[in-house]
Amino acid sequence: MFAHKKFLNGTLSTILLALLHENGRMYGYEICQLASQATQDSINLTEGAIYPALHKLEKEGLIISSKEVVNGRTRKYYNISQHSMDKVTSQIDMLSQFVGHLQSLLKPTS
Amino acid sequence: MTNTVTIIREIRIRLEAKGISDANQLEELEDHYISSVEHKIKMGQEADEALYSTLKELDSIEFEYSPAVAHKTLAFAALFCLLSLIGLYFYLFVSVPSAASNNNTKSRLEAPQNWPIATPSKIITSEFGPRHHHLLKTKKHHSGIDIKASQGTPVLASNGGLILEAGYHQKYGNYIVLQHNDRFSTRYMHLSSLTIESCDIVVMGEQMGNVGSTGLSSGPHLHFEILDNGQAIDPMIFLQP
Repeated sequence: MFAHKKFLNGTLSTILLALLHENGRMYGYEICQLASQATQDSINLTEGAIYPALHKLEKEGLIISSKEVVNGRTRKYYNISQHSMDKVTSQIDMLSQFVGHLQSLLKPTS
Repeated sequence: MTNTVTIIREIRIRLEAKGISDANQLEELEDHYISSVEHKIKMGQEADEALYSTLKELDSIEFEYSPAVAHKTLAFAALFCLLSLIGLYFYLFVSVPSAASNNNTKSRLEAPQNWPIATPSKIITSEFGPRHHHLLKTKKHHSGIDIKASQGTPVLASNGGLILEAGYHQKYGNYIVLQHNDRFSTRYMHLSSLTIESCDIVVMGEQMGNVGSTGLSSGPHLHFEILDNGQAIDPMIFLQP
């Protein structure tokens, strides 16, 4: 589980972009849930890590946020900025390619 | 009994206890944990249990370095530097009450500080203040100090500055007026000779002439005055004993 933390460093932002690209508008908790479900609880994105990453992506202009009042509190949703769609998709593609290359380097040990 | 209001309140309190003070951060994390509790309840957990386990998770999380923290640290650092600089300024340039006397003030950098003669003898034959004038036989106010020195002893600038006046006067003899800054000036009287001219610039300790007995003087000595905004003050406040 903790090994994943090391690997997530550097890939987390792109993972978030990919999730948002795939699923549209989401809020933080929802993103965490999705990641856990999609990987059978293997990859757990922590709240300590994703919110700073999301804020950074917003600052870079790749995603935009909007707020909504839900059940007695304010919820922040994120989605890909249309304006930056090309940049986002190219970043996701680059990581995807990299993963492919990694796979050819990391032959299965069994 | 745990209801929505309790849940929201408990989460909020626990987040603040974690040191999260940025309003936006607080808001977002609040939503995160409340959503977590709601999800657990939806999955069948008891409300109390859901809240309790979420609060435990919250406690164990270490929140990453946030921009709010960085800004706060930077703000404190900047404030500290500013206060240090202000403190330094006051220490160097602003007058503080001297322990020596009630009303006189002392500024460490600006005031004439050096003994104005070259000899180690620092004998004052006549102090600042009221005295019986030995030649005129009347009570007078002595506007400086008389320093005992033998004829020819070099007279030195008490601090750096511009020679305002250097010449001969019936009462003062060969005398020098040295302006240090817009506040302090010094006067040197009864010199036997002058080695500088008016409008010369001197540095602290530079020789300007020699001790003598010219003018209204009964024997070789240096009459030395310090003026603060044109007002003669007791030089002993500033001169290191």
